[in-house]
Amino acid sequence: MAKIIEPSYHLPTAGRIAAALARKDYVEANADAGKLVELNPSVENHALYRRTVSTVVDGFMATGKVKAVTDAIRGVEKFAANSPEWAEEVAVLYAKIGEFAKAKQFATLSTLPTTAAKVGGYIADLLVRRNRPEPVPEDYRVGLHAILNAFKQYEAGQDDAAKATLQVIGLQSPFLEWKLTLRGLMAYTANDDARAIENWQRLSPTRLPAKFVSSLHSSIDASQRTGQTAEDQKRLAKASDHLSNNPIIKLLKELQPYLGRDMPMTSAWRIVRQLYPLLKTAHPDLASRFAACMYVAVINQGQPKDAQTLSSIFGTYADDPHMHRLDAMACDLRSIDQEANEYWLKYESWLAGPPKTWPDEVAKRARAMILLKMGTQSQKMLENDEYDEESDLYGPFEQLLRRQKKGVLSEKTIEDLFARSAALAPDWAEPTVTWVEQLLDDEKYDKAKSVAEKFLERHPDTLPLLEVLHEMHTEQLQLAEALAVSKRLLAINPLDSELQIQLGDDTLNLARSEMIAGNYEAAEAVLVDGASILRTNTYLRLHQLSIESTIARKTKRIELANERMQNIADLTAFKLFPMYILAVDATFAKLKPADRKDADSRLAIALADKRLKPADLSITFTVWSRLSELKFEYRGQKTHGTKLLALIQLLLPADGTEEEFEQLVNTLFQSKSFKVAKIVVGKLQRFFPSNPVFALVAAKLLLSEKKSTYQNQNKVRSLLNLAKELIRTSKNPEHQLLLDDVEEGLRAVPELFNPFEFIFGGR
Amino acid sequence: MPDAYTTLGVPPDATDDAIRKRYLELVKQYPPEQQPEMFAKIREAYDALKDLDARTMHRLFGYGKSETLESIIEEAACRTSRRRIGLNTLVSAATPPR
Repeated sequence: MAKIIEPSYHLPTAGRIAAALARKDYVEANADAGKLVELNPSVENHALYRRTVSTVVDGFMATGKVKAVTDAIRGVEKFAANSPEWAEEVAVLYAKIGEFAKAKQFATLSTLPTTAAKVGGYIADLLVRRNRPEPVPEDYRVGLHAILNAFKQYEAGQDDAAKATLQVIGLQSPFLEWKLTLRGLMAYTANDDARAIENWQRLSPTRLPAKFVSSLHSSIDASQRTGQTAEDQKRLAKASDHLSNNPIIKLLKELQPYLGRDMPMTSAWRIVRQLYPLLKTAHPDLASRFAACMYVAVINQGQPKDAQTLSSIFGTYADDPHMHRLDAMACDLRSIDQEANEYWLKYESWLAGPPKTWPDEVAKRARAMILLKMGTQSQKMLENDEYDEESDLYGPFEQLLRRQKKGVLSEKTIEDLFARSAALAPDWAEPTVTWVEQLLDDEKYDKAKSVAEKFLERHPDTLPLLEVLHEMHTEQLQLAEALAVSKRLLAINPLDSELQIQLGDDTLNLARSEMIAGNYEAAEAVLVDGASILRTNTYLRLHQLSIESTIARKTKRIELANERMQNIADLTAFKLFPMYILAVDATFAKLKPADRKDADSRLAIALADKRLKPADLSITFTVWSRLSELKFEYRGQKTHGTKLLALIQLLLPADGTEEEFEQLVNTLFQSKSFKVAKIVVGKLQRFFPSNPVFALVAAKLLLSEKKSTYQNQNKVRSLLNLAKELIRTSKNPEHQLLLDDVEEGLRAVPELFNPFEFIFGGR
Repeated sequence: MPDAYTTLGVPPDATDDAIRKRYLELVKQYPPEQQPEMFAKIREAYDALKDLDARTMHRLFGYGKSETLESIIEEAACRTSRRRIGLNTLVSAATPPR
């Protein structure tokens, strides 16, 4: 039974012993483990004592404390008589310190089947470690002789002879692990890592052979490294480098910590100067790869003087002899746009040479790319300078980012850059598309059209260019031309559903404009021509039926007009949207009061309905905004807009689904109806607190107020962070697409320094 | 990773056709189902060189960007014949300094 002789807080514990071992206090660890067994001689405590004394003996041996070693072993000898585990342990300890007779004597006390092999193994380890033929117990002579000879043969490069020598070591030999070690070393030297690992994996981790090759093993076996701490991995890697003793790899590894970080390159150059000549002699191709690597390092972390150092070490870079490209890229990376452009221009001039090593077509395309890049970069800078507070509220985050930069170069220069780029690469669409966009921005419509058409003559299927042309015609209200371009686009890509809708829209716009102009036959012909597309979508079809019904009524084909009215009623459950387009088309066609009375009264009834669906209001409001954009104007248009917004304000969250409201708030934001959007979003945020769209739109609305106060920006940031969190937890895949917008917003709205918080502390 | 030209083994002035021909040869030599890693490297190199735009972009803006010190170390280690490590070296490496 355990004796309690001291207060519990003085009692040794496993934790205390482990702590003592960790700080290499072997005396205390050994004493505590002994005391623990004395107080409570349980099986577990004996096992702990055995492990402790083994570590203690290793520790004392490592520090040359011979007396302490023998004292520690003698202290546990007493257990050997009654415990085979202790007998084995004491035998192993005596084997480790070279007292082979005692080791054998204690081994005989053990009844464990493992003892003889284990003790024999430790004796073999010590004999090999001593590396001398005498004095050696008789029964170990042959084995030791074979191992030492095999090592000598291996070192002399005689692997086959070494293998033959090792043949005498059988499976039961105490030197088996040394045989495996040597076979592994031979495989390692021959770069046969698989075989080396196969041999070394069989070594016992507590024995000397495993410890000898642990760093080499670790350097080639990822699974071996996995179980190690970062500190051990580092230590073993260092040991392996030391063993392999390869100056090139050693220097490359020394260089590693100095690259890829924002730090001066002085120390890196010191190593590079030693390394490069060695690499150039041993592996010329690796030397050129290394030169490329350092070129990029200077771009990423260098100072101007580092470019000179780079040249002084590596000589001239064939593709960048004057380092203009390196300087340009370094400026690009640091957003020093003006200087970047100056260096790019110098590089482009050098390419115009052209250099001998650049095939003509590649050099030309490279120059085109540089000029296009310069133009685009300057275009952005110019836009920032000309930033108009009232313009383009579709992307407030993007605008904020733009405002934070500086401008350079005139529009004329930018246009020249694009023109030169297009001239150098006449079959490459990108510069022409960008050039045309620039011309449109500068309102040079005729030139834009001529440049685009010229390119399209050679490459009629250039989608981006056709898209730009389409946008131009639509903005210019050249509806027939816009429709023609849409047809060309759809012919290239007939399955594109967005293009199908675009073609339908263009068909309706042209038909409606013909109707407004009183060209009823022409309007109907346009609709007949586009019938196949208009049939595919309910929204398009409703517009078509509205125009057809209005023209039929205007041209006194009452039966057809009524039939179309019935078609509309059959097609949709919306109450407001069809009534709105019918009433508006009646106004556009200047129907007589008697003919339009029905449409007007139906619209009045619909507008008086206080329980309309958000989707119905959303689509009607979209049509109202679109008509204004396309300059389809009518009397009472403003009143309709006001009424629609009033109805939208009356909506309750319970009136529709989340998706319907998402669409509605986006429509309101895009049509710049910020006041109403704010009211609606406020209600929706309370009702749908986990919806990220409403939080994001709320942030954009706050930003559109352009108050750059601390409170306002802070609110925007917290709304954006909320949106980000809600996107993360949302199961709607559509919501994941909003993440880029949120991130852009967070980049654009910096966290402001709050002086009050600084002075008075945060509350 | 070596430069795309080195990976495909084509000169810097190789044409679209020559590059494609060489790519197809290499794909036959290193089929993706048997040597997926090698195939991935070949494919990446081909993507960087397959047409005039890609090739020019690679040469103009991509120089050195696919290189890392780690890959150079790995390559150097593979090529360098390993030193024979004798018993005395192992013993002294494993003996901690007193």
